[in-house]
Amino acid sequence: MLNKQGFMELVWNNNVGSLAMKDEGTSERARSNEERLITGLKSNYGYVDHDQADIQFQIVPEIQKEEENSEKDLTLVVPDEHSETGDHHINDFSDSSDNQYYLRNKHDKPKRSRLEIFSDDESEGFTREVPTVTRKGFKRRRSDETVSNKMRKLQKLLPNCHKEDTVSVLDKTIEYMKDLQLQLQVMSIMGMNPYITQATLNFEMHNYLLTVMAMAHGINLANQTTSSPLVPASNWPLPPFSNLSLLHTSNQSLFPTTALPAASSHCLCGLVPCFPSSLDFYSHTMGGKL
Amino acid sequence: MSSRRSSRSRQSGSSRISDDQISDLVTKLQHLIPELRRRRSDKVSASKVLQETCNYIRNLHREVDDLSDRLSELLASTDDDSAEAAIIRSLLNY
Repeated sequence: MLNKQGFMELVWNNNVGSLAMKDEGTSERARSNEERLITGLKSNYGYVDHDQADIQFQIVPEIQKEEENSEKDLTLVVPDEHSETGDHHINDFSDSSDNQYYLRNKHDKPKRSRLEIFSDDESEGFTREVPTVTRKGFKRRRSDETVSNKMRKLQKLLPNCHKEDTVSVLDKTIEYMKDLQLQLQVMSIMGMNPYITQATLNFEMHNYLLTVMAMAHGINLANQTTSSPLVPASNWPLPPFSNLSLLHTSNQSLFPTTALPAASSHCLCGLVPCFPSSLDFYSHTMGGKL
Repeated sequence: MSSRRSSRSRQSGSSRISDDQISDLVTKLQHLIPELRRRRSDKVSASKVLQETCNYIRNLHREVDDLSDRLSELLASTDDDSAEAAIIRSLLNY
């Protein structure tokens, strides 16, 4: 909108004859406009980066046209580049040397038609990437906004995520979700089946349990020097299954099986929809990552 | 003109890499979410995936909280020196 206004002002002033100063002022304003728009978009978080490029394409030719027009005599209406891109409208009036006619035409011409002209797909490369300003484009921009909104929400859900950029947030989300799923599985198995056997815990879950215990153990060691009954501290890291056999041979009947009937059913209905083929899934996706 | 064009192409080239990365991550994310995995269609919009992710993480948090409560109940009912108690304690600490 401002661009258009600036252009009109520029042309008008050309007529009067105070070209130089106004010219600089408007082109500068136009450029700052462009920058503001682009940086605004950037801070708006371009999820589909295409849009940023799009905006540049839309604005740059227009500014250029202003600059070129201001440089040349107004009777010389058509710059070469625009005839190359198939600017029919201006071509039509290129033979008319009447300034007023040209100006009126410029004033009357709606903005959209100019954009449509640029999207005419006639020359190589340049026009191919220029989008038409359609509802679809607006929709995409709006969905970008919602996406960035959701990214912010997601980031709030992640612990210790200080980076702002999309890739690291998504990365952390994936890691965190895997961790949570694993944690839930182990916890639910612990809750509903106190007899830990190697059949119920697969390799990743077992490793998870070990790392968790290692962490907790480290904290315990820092706080209290009494060694844990489970594993002597010098034994870390343990081989995966030695610890487990020790566990369920030492005290099998510690947990009453009726301890958590409600809990087990709860865990099941919480987990079964979440993990349709949990063990396969984990051995597939985790791939010994832990 | 030509310099402007080349800089533009460079920019779009670098942004395409992160675009690819991002879409890759989004599909990964999608496969981690059971509701979207069950749908069996690859065409799920990014915003939908993110929305579902938020919901799913909240769900997981809730379940972890529930299970923590259960496990702490369980911990209270077992004797402190047992191996299971140690495991549960470490799970709850996490």
